[in-house]
Amino acid sequence: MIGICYNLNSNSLSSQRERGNIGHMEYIYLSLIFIPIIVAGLVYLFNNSMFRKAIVFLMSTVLFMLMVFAILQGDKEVKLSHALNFALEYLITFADYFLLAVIFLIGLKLKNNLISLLAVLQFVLMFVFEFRAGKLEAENVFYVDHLTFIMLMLINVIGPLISIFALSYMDEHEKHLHLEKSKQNIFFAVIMLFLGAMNGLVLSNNILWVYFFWEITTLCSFLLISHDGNEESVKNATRALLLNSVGGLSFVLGIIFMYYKSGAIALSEIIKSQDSSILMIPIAFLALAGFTKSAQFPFQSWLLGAMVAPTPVSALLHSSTMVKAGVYLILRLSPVYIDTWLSKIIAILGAFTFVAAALLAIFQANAKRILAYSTISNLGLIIALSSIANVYSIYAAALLIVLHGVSKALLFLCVGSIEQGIGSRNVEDMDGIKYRMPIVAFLTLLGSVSMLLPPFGVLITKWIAIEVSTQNIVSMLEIILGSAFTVVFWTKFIGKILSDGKDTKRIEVFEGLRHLPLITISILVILVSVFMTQFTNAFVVPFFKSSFARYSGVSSRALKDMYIKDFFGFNPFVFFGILALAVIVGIILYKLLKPKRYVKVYMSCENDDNYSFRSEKDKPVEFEFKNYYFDTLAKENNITLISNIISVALIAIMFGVILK
Amino acid sequence: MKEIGLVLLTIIIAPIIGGLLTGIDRKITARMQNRFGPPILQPFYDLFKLFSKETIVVSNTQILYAFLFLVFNVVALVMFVLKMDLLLILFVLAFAVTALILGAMSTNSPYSRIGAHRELISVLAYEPILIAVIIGIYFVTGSFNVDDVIKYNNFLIFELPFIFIAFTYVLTIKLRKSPFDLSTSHHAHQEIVKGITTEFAGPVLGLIELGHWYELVLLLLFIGLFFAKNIVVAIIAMLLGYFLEILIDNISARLTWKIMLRLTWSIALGLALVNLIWVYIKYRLL
Repeated sequence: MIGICYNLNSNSLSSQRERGNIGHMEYIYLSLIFIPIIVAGLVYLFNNSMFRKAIVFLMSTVLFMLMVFAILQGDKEVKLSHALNFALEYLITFADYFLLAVIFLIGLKLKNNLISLLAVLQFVLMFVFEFRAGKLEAENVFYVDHLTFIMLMLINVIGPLISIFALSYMDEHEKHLHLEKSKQNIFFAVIMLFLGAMNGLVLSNNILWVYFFWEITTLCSFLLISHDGNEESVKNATRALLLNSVGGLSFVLGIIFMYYKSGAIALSEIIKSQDSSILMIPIAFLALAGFTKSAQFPFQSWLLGAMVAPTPVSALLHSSTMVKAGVYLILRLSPVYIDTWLSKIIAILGAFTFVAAALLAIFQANAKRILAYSTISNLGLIIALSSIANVYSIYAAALLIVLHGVSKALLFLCVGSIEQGIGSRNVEDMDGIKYRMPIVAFLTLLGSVSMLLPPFGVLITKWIAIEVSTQNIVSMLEIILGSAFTVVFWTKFIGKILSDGKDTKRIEVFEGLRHLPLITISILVILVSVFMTQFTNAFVVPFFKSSFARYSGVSSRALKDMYIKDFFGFNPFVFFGILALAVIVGIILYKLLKPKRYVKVYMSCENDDNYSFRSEKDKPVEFEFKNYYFDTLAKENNITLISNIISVALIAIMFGVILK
Repeated sequence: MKEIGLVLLTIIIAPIIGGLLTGIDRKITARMQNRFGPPILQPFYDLFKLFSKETIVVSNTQILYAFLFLVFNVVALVMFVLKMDLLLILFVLAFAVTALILGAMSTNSPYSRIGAHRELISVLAYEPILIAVIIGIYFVTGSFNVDDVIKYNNFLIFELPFIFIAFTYVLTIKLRKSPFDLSTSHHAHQEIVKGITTEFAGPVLGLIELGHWYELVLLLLFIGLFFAKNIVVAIIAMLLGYFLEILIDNISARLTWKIMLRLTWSIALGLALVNLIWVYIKYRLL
């Protein structure tokens, strides 16, 4: 096996963490947060298509450059000048209460008292807590490490690409809806606001700020799900808001417990905390908040409902970025609780979601629901990986965040395009899509293959998951079963994308605004997998070094020289090389075996074409073959119910274990 | 250099062994059915004939899938010979089957699509058990690498008897032998024509046949792993295991997919779990 060494010590990225206020990094971080928010305001005010396109492109470029600049500067903990800090502290505190008030009012308007009640509870708890605790400031406002970079890349590369795709998608979408007045200004404003909030969420050090941005993403999600304004979307948006409010309340409780147990309010202090046993209760509450945001069982229903939103929303919020906030929080806190009883149970919970969602995905015919279940399933795997005490497990968790984000963004956008093309999101209607919409079909194929087959990265993380989960036999069994289910539902999905259909007329024309973002994302999908080792060494290993320094398994000396050559002997270059070789040989073989004659399918020689057979009096009868959905074996609703019960039980066990 | 030689040797010898075994299978099966049976070299004659035929297809992408099926099987076997990670080998093997399923689903033929779905159900049935087998091996030997498993200083079968039974059980599914020859069958009693391979013909079918031979050799090598301490014992075990499969094939009737799924997930998975738990306690906790 050829090992590609990539020594970190010679790399500038491993430079010592710089402390304090050197240079003017704070302005870059602030711009990453506030530029999208300002753009949101502008987009909202000027409802003009040309202006919108221009500013989205401009903002994408600026965000990308800022992100690159932030990454080049390396790990930092940044203070703000006194005046700026003071102003922001007040701004965020008041904006937070304002936000909760807005959610309260939305609850009233929707006549959903539970949402209002949860908002009031959060408001009161927050208010009493801040009133009693007094000054709750973190010394360093921004805590930026390599995990932040991973998230920043996801948000500021995939986010803008999806926004650009949305420009053409939403035009088409509104054409279908026959709106009198375009609502695109609201749509794009919320998307931009969301991007800013996500940047804030991953950059902030003060956990109260994290909570504030967390709530903004909840609100954005609500606004975007209910965007179309019909009955179903409002209903599903309400459910999303309700379940995420439960998470918000759990977050608040986590913060309060955290403060009273340890006095820490900054993430940087929390993860360096020496005595992890006293932090179990706040961590459990924060983890629960993470579960709701990442749509883990039993909170999965909001994400499934969220699929009524326009496709760019599903791609951006509900698969590649917002739901990653939950796993981000859990992975961020992982150094505190790893290798405790809590981590064992969280691993079992995450792995349970992995298997249950993969099982339910087999029953789905709706392409967006298949992708949604797959998303839930992968988020579960990330959570399980974050909680298994093993170096490779943490690597795989961080890698899967990126790999899954990129692939799923591509898949959702493709399915959205197919839906606009053929007017259906049912996979049974996708026969012959490879002739009707060849570009999108090929990209969908690439996306789904990258989720399933070697040598793409997602499979490698699943492989690592099985190998490391041998420490925890329950989650191991769940992951084994889950990976079998995963193979089944993806194969069914890919089979449909590739199958012949009666209708072969091409309906797709190349549109730059629509297809170029898709092609860019698909190139990213390939690049991330090919350079997975290098990516791990550049981003994931430094994250491990800085966050898991006190983790018992690795000595400080070993930590210093740590880098990986390959994954247990799997080198992406070698395997992609084999794949490239196989493709070349395949093309040559195709030329050699070039079909000389096309024949009809075998129907006992009673057919004139591939889609019908001759019945009595030679009358042609059309036949069709649908996928198996196993609904004769078990009922989907029963599985959902049982899974919900089990996951509630597991959460109860989680809290039971930590309460002494 | 030595590795390249080994790889080439594997690629050349494996199909010869696989073809011979298939020939022996047909001969033994015929004798069990009171027939004389074809010559042992018949599979080779068949294969050469397939490759001499005209390439006819329903859909031109079929060639690609047949080729991928072959390539993934060869890669899996080569990885085994190079003593790499067992789980990774299993994944590669799983995707050989995926390629075949996709090939069958790519045409609109109901027979091949039913075959494809039945094959998918088979994957659902045997995949967790195969992974469980490998994890059992890991618990005992402490490694996922074929290299370390071979060096283990005892017969694995003594530690993993139930897992071995579970493995031979799913081998019946994997080799598409009765009672689990749901997706396609070598016998005449086939209710979905030729199932998953219905729409493959000529050289394209030849590629699939060749892929099967590599697959057969690899699966028998998995049996050998349990007896790897002594190479002679291992070879005898592999041959006996194969004979057992042929015997089961001939004395049982086909089951439906539901029964297969239920039986496999209860009996085979149950056996594997029992064994897994005891080796977990023995080697991890004690």
